[in-house]
Amino acid sequence: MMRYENEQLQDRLAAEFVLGNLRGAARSRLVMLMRRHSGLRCKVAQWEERLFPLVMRAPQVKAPPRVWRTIHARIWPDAVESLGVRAWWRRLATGGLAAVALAAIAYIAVAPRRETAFTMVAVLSDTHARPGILVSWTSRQAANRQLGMRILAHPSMPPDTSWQAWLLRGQGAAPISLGIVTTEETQVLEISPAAADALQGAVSIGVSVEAMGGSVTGRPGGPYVLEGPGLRVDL
Amino acid sequence: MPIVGAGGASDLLADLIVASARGDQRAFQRLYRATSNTLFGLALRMLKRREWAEEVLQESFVSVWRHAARYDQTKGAAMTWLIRIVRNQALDWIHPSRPDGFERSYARAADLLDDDLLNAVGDLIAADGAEMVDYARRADSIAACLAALDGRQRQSLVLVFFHGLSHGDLARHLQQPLGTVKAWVRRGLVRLAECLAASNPRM
Repeated sequence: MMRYENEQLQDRLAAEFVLGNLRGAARSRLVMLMRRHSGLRCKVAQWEERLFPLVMRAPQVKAPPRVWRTIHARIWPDAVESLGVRAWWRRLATGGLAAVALAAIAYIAVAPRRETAFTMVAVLSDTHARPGILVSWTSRQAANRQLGMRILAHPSMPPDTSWQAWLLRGQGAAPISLGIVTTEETQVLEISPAAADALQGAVSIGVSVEAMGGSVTGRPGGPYVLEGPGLRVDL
Repeated sequence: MPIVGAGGASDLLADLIVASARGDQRAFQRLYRATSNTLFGLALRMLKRREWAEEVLQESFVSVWRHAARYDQTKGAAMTWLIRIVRNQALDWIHPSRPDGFERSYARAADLLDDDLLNAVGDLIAADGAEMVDYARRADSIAACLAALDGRQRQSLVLVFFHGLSHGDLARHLQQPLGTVKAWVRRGLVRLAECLAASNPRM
């Protein structure tokens, strides 16, 4: 067992920590220790003063404007209105879904997003219009055949059943399976190439209750317990 | 404990953080304008990829906004607090357990012997506020001490600090046993601290 009271050892750990040599679990452990040991905190602060100013000698690089735009959209979601999602916002808000819309924006904003051209979002609601699942994907994620999903409310489910998500295309076209929804609060659905191709023309997304493991017929075995239209958001 | 850069009337950055904690959006935007180029440069140097550096900068500033109230002016310079946030984000990002892996381009790190760090006259003087100028001045004495180190020690410190190499990375990169590079880092740090103490008792 290491003696963290030992001043020399503290200094050494603090130096390595500030330099960036402690990673993963070791780093987390030191952060925990810092909470309890003011001496260690002091040493870390000392080393920060010794090393951090060096950062000022490294070349500055201008960050592209999209970084600020994203920060702005994340911390002041209301202001997103002025960026062109007003119609979408109203549509959700009039349904009494303002809170969900806020969650949606926050969620989109934290979803991994690089070189994003657009983001699609669908709030899936039950038959009483209570939101249950939020689905979103960026154009980039779609290209990688991935959809982000967040469970907003866990419904009661019969034992030995699975939730299966479907892409609904309207005009008599058969729904395409997006895969099984797990109970994880946030998850990423890896979708089939066929589903990825159909994403563009999707009307809405539905979730049906199937036997454990999903529908064997390739068609939903029952009504959609959750459903919601896909809406395009340009941030 | 040395408290440098805090307490003067010119602590503009500190004021901007405090105002941000009160919800002042303009102050926060000014803080971003004043510091984002420096911090983006840091993130880019550590991560090597622009899109990763952009994400780290974005996460960092969202965190700055959310936790601005935690900034304690009496416990250090505003710039130290900001750099800490960005470095923590960047170090988390390059953690080897990341699913996308992190095949670092050692070759590129090798090319950067970081003479610019030692030779640069801080190009920061135009920045917003005397606090940053003061901070940049401190960088000069650190760079002087760094320059006085044994070459291998200096290179090791720079590669770890600015390029996010771990001890293991460093050993592979410099093709030396792990124990050897650990000793270089350790001795480099000790000598740096001694040199700084001699040149400025506050450090």
